Amino acid sequence: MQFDFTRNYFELFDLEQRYAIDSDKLAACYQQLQSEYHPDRFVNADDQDRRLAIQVTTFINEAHDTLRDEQSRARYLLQLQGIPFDSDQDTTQDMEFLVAQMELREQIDEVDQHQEPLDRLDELASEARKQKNDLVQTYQQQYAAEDWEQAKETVLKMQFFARLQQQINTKQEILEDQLL
Amino acid sequence: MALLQISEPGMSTAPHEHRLAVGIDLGTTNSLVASVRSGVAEVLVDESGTALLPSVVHYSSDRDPQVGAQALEHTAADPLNTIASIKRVMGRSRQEIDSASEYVPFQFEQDNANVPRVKTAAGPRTAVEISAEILAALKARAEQSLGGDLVGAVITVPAYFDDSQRQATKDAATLAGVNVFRLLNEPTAAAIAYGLDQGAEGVIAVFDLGGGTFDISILRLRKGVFEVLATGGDSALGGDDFDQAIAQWWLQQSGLQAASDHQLMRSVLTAARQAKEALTAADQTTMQVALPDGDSVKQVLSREQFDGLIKGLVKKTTVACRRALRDAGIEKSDVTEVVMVGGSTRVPLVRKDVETFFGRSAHTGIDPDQVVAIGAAIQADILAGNKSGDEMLLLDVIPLSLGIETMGGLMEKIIDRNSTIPLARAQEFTTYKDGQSAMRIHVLQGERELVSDCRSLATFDLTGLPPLVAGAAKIRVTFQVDADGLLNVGAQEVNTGVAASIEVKPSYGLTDKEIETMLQDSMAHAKDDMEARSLREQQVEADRVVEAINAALEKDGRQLLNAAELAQITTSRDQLIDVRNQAGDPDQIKSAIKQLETISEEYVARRMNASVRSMMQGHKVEEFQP
Repeated sequence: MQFDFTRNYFELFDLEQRYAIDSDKLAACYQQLQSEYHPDRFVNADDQDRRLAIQVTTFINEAHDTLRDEQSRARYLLQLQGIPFDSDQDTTQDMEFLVAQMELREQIDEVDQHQEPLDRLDELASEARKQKNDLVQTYQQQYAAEDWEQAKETVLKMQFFARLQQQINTKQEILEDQLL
Repeated sequence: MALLQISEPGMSTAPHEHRLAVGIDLGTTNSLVASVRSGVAEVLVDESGTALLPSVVHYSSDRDPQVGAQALEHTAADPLNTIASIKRVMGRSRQEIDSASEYVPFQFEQDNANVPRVKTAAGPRTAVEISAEILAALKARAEQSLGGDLVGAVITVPAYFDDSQRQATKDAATLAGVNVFRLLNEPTAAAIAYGLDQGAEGVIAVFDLGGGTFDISILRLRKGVFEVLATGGDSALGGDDFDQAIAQWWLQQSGLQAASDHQLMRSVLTAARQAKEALTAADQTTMQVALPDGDSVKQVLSREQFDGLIKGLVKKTTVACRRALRDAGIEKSDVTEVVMVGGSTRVPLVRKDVETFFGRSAHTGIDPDQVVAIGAAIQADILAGNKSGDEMLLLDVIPLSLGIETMGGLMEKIIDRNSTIPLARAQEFTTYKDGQSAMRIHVLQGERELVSDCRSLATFDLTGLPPLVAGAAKIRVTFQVDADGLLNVGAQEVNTGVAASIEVKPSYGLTDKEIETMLQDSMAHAKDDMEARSLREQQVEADRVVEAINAALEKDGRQLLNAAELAQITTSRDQLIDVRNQAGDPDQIKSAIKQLETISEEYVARRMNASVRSMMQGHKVEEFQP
């Protein structure tokens, strides 16, 4: 089996290295690579090829997940430019942003007090989506302008929305379970 | 034997090399085995032509356990030794089983064993061992039916099964001597059966409601690639719960207490199941239950009442559908096909609510009881290497998030649910004390924030860490999920490259050592099995030889043999038939076969000459010379 692990994720899927991507092409290329390297294709191969097939498809899945998601794609593009991320220490210092985040979180915690908590949650989710889309726009401009420091700041902010979305989903599921 | 080897010149009797592989649907209520034969996937039936094997095992103190319909017959007379619905407790702890409100139709040993053991007349048995009996019965059926040893099997599991439930299923296969190619999610198997059948492209929603489990999967099918986008469900919701609901209603109506009376409870549940099945076609049905004192109580149950009893349960399924669509990131209107799988989708309210939810009518073309096994057989055929393998590929997902316990009893997710497998994620941990050389990591599966709301999979003890000051050691722990959806963990200290050794303590599953002990215990059985099997083989061989000699004698016995020779051969043949039918010893049959073969040697030689002569008749000798 031949596979080049040194290619970056964009090269792997034959995509241009930029923020806006052709998601149909990504999906098609992903399936094509899986068709070629999936462990199911190597059930009768020797041990080494079988192990390799797992490693290759793990790599392909990781690449696909990274490029498919707006936030992780943004972060990955900066990493390719040599911008380091340290999850223990990096965080945004923008107080105004942090206060707005805290308010959103409190509002999510308080949806139970609403008459129609699920509807209220939908409203908050849509508000969060709008704010995140603004960040995506901002990032796109900063990346195009090669303003790496500011772009990194934007990525760190996007991460808050990933966590926020998780909080919304969990809340939604708890509320749904209560309805049963 | 020579007699059979007289074949037409140029025709080979050697069968085409085909590796025998099966798909096994190990269900809560019924199990099935299917295989691809001559390019067609079909379920394999028993001697009486029945495909469904009731997932029931009956234990007795004086003989081997019985499986299936035979076992089912003991339900009323010996309920506690007749183990049904064992799948509901696979990979579960005592505590979890006890806290579930449902009635479990068997009793557990009162001990503190890590894995709960069911009390039976033949001694305590784990769910893994009981399931292994069912798998062994299916394996035997398949080998009988296909006429050879199985290379391997694809065994289906509910998509929503967590890691310990999957591991328990795989352990059961190990114990039954079944080589597992792959654990395949049930709804995915159903989608394969339908997808390949109809050449569909688009987004398929598979709604799978079985006896004890419920799954919903959303798949995208494009150019032969099945990509699972999301999966969800409830591993403890199914037709059994409908039966329970009816049974509780019946008890309430008749003012009886049955909770402590297993025999009555079984009778009520049986009547409840029959009522449920009757209400698929009828608007009302009469439930009749015989009481232990000889009386019998009748209750009329209407479809409307039944719908009322199960409304809440069915509602749970549509909530799970909504969740799965959300996870898949698609709208209801994107769904192009809805497939119904599992016996419980015959319940009219289920069908109605699901069709209303998706706004389209559902496919039910393939028997909902068989579709999963058929899909598994197709996958098994490919994994056995019987096909070129280009026509189909499955990309499946992990159904529940994986994470670890962090400070304050919180769960930190490392792998999100619905991520495509195989996959790996690494996470770095650090020491909090100077010179700390060991670390314990608690692995969890579930969606909730609190550790107590998630399922504990295992604890890992990392030892042999290099002694460094607090915070200096960085341990990278890698979580790898393989194509079966099973988790493997590895760990390494980043700076020194020292690999930490890991000891896995499964929270609920069996340890490798326990499995090994069970395997050794079953070796004793295996010896019996092997003898039984070699007897069966010799019997088959004897039948073949007798059939061949009969066919030969009928054709040319009178031309080629005189009366004495003929008598000698037929006497020897009859002896073989007697031995074959009476002897319990394979060696006796073997020597009787040998005897017949020796006596027939001269006859065989004459037949060969005759056959060569007839072949050459009308031809010149030169034609046969090179």
